[in-house]
Amino acid sequence: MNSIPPSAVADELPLLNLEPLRDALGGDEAFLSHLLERFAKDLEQILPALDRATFEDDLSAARELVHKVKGSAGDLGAMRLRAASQSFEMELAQGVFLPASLDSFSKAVHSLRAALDARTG
Amino acid sequence: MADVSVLVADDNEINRDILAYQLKKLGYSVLAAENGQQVLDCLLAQRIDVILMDLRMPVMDGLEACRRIKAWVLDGTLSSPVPVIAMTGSLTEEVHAEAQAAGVSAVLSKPYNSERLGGMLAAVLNPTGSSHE
Repeated sequence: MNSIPPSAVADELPLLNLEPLRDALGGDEAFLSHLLERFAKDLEQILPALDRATFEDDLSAARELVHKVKGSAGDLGAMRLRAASQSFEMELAQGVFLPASLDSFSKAVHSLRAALDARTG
Repeated sequence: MADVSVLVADDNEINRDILAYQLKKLGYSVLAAENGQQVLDCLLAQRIDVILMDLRMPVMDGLEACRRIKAWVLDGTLSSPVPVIAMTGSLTEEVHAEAQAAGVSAVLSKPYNSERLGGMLAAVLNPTGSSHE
Protein backbone atom coordinates (compact mmCIF):
# COMPACT_ATOMS: atom_id res chain seq x y z
CA MET A 1 0.00 0.00 0.00
CA ASN A 2 1.37 3.42 -0.92
CA SER A 3 1.60 5.83 1.99
CA ILE A 4 0.48 9.42 1.49
CA PRO A 5 3.28 11.92 2.16
CA PRO A 6 2.47 14.30 5.05
CA SER A 7 2.90 17.28 2.72
CA ALA A 8 0.11 15.97 0.50
CA VAL A 9 -2.17 15.68 3.52
CA ALA A 10 -1.21 19.19 4.64
CA ASP A 11 -2.05 20.58 1.19
CA GLU A 12 -5.64 19.37 1.61
CA LEU A 13 -6.20 21.41 4.76
CA PRO A 14 -7.60 24.94 4.83
CA LEU A 15 -4.96 27.65 4.99
CA LEU A 16 -6.73 29.53 7.72
CA ASN A 17 -9.73 28.60 9.82
CA LEU A 18 -10.35 31.48 12.19
CA GLU A 19 -13.57 30.23 13.75
CA PRO A 20 -12.06 28.44 16.79
CA LEU A 21 -9.91 31.50 17.58
CA ARG A 22 -12.86 33.82 17.06
CA ASP A 23 -14.82 31.62 19.45
CA ALA A 24 -11.96 31.62 21.97
CA LEU A 25 -11.79 35.42 21.86
CA GLY A 26 -15.52 35.87 22.12
CA GLY A 27 -15.64 37.62 18.74
CA ASP A 28 -13.07 40.33 19.54
CA GLU A 29 -12.06 41.07 15.93
CA ALA A 30 -9.56 43.79 16.86
CA PHE A 31 -7.56 41.46 19.09
CA LEU A 32 -7.82 38.69 16.51
CA SER A 33 -6.38 40.98 13.83
CA HIS A 34 -3.64 42.10 16.20
CA LEU A 35 -2.63 38.46 16.78
CA LEU A 36 -2.59 37.69 13.06
CA GLU A 37 -0.44 40.74 12.34
CA ARG A 38 2.05 39.66 15.00
CA PHE A 39 2.17 36.17 13.55
CA ALA A 40 2.72 37.59 10.05
CA LYS A 41 5.74 39.50 11.41
CA ASP A 42 7.08 36.34 13.06
CA LEU A 43 6.74 34.51 9.76
CA GLU A 44 8.92 37.11 8.02
CA GLN A 45 11.83 35.93 10.17
CA ILE A 46 11.26 32.20 10.23
CA LEU A 47 12.59 31.03 6.87
CA PRO A 48 15.95 32.89 7.00
CA ALA A 49 16.41 31.66 10.59
CA LEU A 50 15.56 28.11 9.56
CA ASP A 51 17.94 28.28 6.59
CA ARG A 52 20.72 29.35 8.96
CA ALA A 53 19.98 26.57 11.43
CA THR A 54 19.86 23.83 8.79
CA PHE A 55 22.94 25.21 6.98
CA GLU A 56 24.81 24.96 10.31
CA ASP A 57 23.34 21.49 10.83
CA ASP A 58 21.83 22.71 14.11
CA LEU A 59 18.72 20.52 14.02
CA SER A 60 17.91 21.30 17.65
CA ALA A 61 17.65 25.01 16.85
CA ALA A 62 15.66 24.20 13.71
CA ARG A 63 13.28 22.10 15.77
CA GLU A 64 12.74 24.91 18.28
CA LEU A 65 11.93 27.34 15.46
CA VAL A 66 9.47 24.94 13.85
CA HIS A 67 7.93 24.09 17.23
CA LYS A 68 7.25 27.76 17.88
CA VAL A 69 5.55 28.17 14.51
CA LYS A 70 3.52 25.01 15.11
CA GLY A 71 2.22 26.40 18.42
CA SER A 72 1.18 29.74 16.99
CA ALA A 73 -0.24 28.18 13.83
CA GLY A 74 -2.32 25.76 15.88
CA ASP A 75 -3.81 28.42 18.13
CA LEU A 76 -4.48 30.81 15.27
CA GLY A 77 -6.11 28.23 13.00
CA ALA A 78 -3.38 28.10 10.34
CA MET A 79 -4.12 24.45 9.75
CA ARG A 80 -1.96 23.78 6.71
CA LEU A 81 1.10 25.35 8.30
CA ARG A 82 0.45 23.53 11.56
CA ALA A 83 0.35 20.18 9.76
CA ALA A 84 3.53 20.96 7.80
CA SER A 85 5.22 22.07 11.05
CA GLN A 86 4.14 18.98 12.93
CA SER A 87 5.63 16.49 10.48
CA PHE A 88 8.77 18.60 10.01
CA GLU A 89 9.26 18.93 13.78
CA MET A 90 8.89 15.18 14.26
CA GLU A 91 11.61 14.51 11.71
CA LEU A 92 13.93 17.10 13.25
CA ALA A 93 13.31 15.62 16.71
CA GLN A 94 14.57 12.31 15.35
CA GLY A 95 17.68 14.00 13.98
CA VAL A 96 16.47 13.77 10.39
CA PHE A 97 16.51 16.72 8.02
CA LEU A 98 14.71 16.21 4.73
CA PRO A 99 14.95 19.13 2.27
CA ALA A 100 11.54 18.10 0.91
CA SER A 101 10.02 18.79 4.34
CA LEU A 102 11.66 22.20 4.44
CA ASP A 103 10.17 22.86 0.99
CA SER A 104 6.68 21.86 2.19
CA PHE A 105 7.07 23.99 5.29
CA SER A 106 8.31 26.97 3.23
CA LYS A 107 5.42 26.56 0.82
CA ALA A 108 2.94 26.60 3.70
CA VAL A 109 4.61 29.71 5.16
CA HIS A 110 4.47 31.55 1.81
CA SER A 111 0.83 30.61 1.22
CA LEU A 112 -0.18 31.76 4.68
CA ARG A 113 1.75 35.00 4.40
CA ALA A 114 -0.04 35.73 1.13
CA ALA A 115 -3.40 35.00 2.78
CA LEU A 116 -2.58 37.22 5.74
CA ASP A 117 -1.39 40.02 3.45
CA ALA A 118 -4.61 39.75 1.45
CA ARG A 119 -6.63 39.90 4.66
CA THR A 120 -5.02 43.15 5.79
CA GLY A 121 -5.18 44.57 2.28
CA MET B 1 -12.30 36.07 40.84
CA ALA B 2 -9.45 38.56 40.40
CA ASP B 3 -8.00 37.27 43.67
CA VAL B 4 -7.42 33.87 42.03
CA SER B 5 -3.93 33.86 40.51
CA VAL B 6 -3.43 31.78 37.39
CA LEU B 7 0.12 31.22 36.15
CA VAL B 8 0.28 30.66 32.39
CA ALA B 9 3.41 28.77 31.33
CA ASP B 10 4.05 28.61 27.60
CA ASP B 11 7.14 29.37 25.57
CA ASN B 12 5.02 30.76 22.76
CA GLU B 13 4.20 34.43 23.30
CA ILE B 14 1.14 34.44 21.03
CA ASN B 15 -0.31 31.40 22.81
CA ARG B 16 0.34 33.03 26.21
CA ASP B 17 -1.40 36.20 25.09
CA ILE B 18 -4.48 34.34 23.82
CA LEU B 19 -4.76 32.45 27.07
CA ALA B 20 -4.16 35.55 29.20
CA TYR B 21 -6.87 37.36 27.24
CA GLN B 22 -9.36 34.55 27.91
CA LEU B 23 -8.44 34.29 31.58
CA LYS B 24 -8.77 38.03 32.19
CA LYS B 25 -12.18 37.96 30.51
CA LEU B 26 -13.12 35.17 32.91
CA GLY B 27 -12.03 37.40 35.79
CA TYR B 28 -8.78 35.75 36.83
CA SER B 29 -5.54 37.46 37.76
CA VAL B 30 -2.85 36.29 35.30
CA LEU B 31 0.91 35.78 35.60
CA ALA B 32 3.15 34.43 32.87
CA ALA B 33 6.17 32.14 32.59
CA GLU B 34 8.14 31.04 29.53
CA ASN B 35 9.43 27.70 30.84
CA GLY B 36 9.27 25.27 33.73
CA GLN B 37 12.14 26.89 35.59
CA GLN B 38 10.32 30.22 35.63
CA VAL B 39 7.26 28.39 36.98
CA LEU B 40 9.30 27.07 39.90
CA ASP B 41 10.84 30.50 40.54
CA CYS B 42 7.40 32.05 40.50
CA LEU B 43 6.00 29.49 42.94
CA LEU B 44 8.72 30.32 45.46
CA ALA B 45 8.16 34.06 45.07
CA GLN B 46 4.39 34.43 45.29
CA ARG B 47 1.05 32.74 45.81
CA ILE B 48 -0.21 30.88 42.76
CA ASP B 49 -3.61 29.20 42.86
CA VAL B 50 -3.44 27.20 39.64
CA ILE B 51 -0.98 26.69 36.78
CA LEU B 52 -1.83 26.28 33.10
CA MET B 53 1.23 24.58 31.68
CA ASP B 54 2.36 23.77 28.17
CA LEU B 55 4.04 20.38 28.20
CA ARG B 56 6.88 21.11 25.80
CA MET B 57 9.03 24.12 26.67
CA PRO B 58 12.75 24.85 26.49
CA VAL B 59 15.02 25.03 29.59
CA MET B 60 12.60 22.86 31.60
CA ASP B 61 9.54 21.21 30.13
CA GLY B 62 6.13 21.08 31.74
CA LEU B 63 6.31 17.48 32.90
CA GLU B 64 9.62 18.02 34.70
CA ALA B 65 8.25 21.14 36.37
CA CYS B 66 5.22 19.11 37.54
CA ARG B 67 7.46 16.40 38.99
CA ARG B 68 9.42 19.01 40.93
CA ILE B 69 6.27 20.68 42.21
CA LYS B 70 5.03 17.28 43.40
CA ALA B 71 8.37 16.70 45.17
CA TRP B 72 8.19 20.15 46.76
CA VAL B 73 4.79 19.36 48.22
CA LEU B 74 6.14 16.10 49.66
CA ASP B 75 9.26 17.67 51.18
CA GLY B 76 7.38 20.69 52.53
CA THR B 77 8.96 23.33 50.26
CA LEU B 78 5.39 24.14 49.26
CA SER B 79 2.86 24.18 52.06
CA SER B 80 0.02 22.94 49.85
CA PRO B 81 -0.39 21.39 46.39
CA VAL B 82 -0.84 23.74 43.43
CA PRO B 83 -3.10 22.24 40.78
CA VAL B 84 -1.65 22.06 37.28
CA ILE B 85 -3.66 21.94 34.09
CA ALA B 86 -1.53 20.69 31.22
CA MET B 87 -2.25 22.08 27.76
CA THR B 88 -1.55 20.12 24.63
CA GLY B 89 -2.42 20.23 20.97
CA SER B 90 -1.93 16.50 20.55
CA LEU B 91 -3.56 14.59 23.39
CA THR B 92 -2.77 10.87 23.24
CA GLU B 93 -3.19 8.18 25.88
CA GLU B 94 0.57 8.22 26.34
CA VAL B 95 0.66 11.98 26.95
CA HIS B 96 -2.26 11.66 29.34
CA ALA B 97 -0.58 8.87 31.30
CA GLU B 98 2.73 10.77 31.47
CA ALA B 99 0.96 13.89 32.66
CA GLN B 100 -0.93 12.01 35.35
CA ALA B 101 2.25 10.33 36.57
CA ALA B 102 3.98 13.72 36.78
CA GLY B 103 1.21 15.05 39.01
CA VAL B 104 -0.93 16.98 36.54
CA SER B 105 -4.47 17.58 37.82
CA ALA B 106 -6.16 17.80 34.41
CA VAL B 107 -5.33 17.93 30.72
CA LEU B 108 -6.83 20.54 28.43
CA SER B 109 -6.62 19.66 24.76
CA LYS B 110 -6.61 22.36 22.11
CA PRO B 111 -8.58 23.97 20.67
CA TYR B 112 -10.66 25.16 23.59
CA ASN B 113 -12.99 28.07 24.09
CA SER B 114 -13.49 30.19 27.19
CA GLU B 115 -16.38 28.03 28.34
CA ARG B 116 -14.27 24.86 28.42
CA LEU B 117 -11.35 26.72 29.94
CA GLY B 118 -13.49 28.26 32.65
CA GLY B 119 -15.20 24.94 33.37
CA MET B 120 -11.92 23.14 33.79
CA LEU B 121 -10.49 25.84 36.05
CA ALA B 122 -13.59 25.74 38.21
CA ALA B 123 -13.36 21.94 38.45
CA VAL B 124 -9.69 22.01 39.41
CA LEU B 125 -10.07 24.82 41.92
CA ASN B 126 -13.09 23.10 43.46
CA PRO B 127 -12.28 19.41 43.01
CA THR B 128 -15.51 17.75 43.99
CA GLY B 129 -15.95 15.87 40.71
CA SER B 130 -13.84 14.45 37.89
CA SER B 131 -11.36 16.95 36.48
CA HIS B 132 -9.92 14.96 33.58
CA GLU B 133 -11.33 15.30 30.08
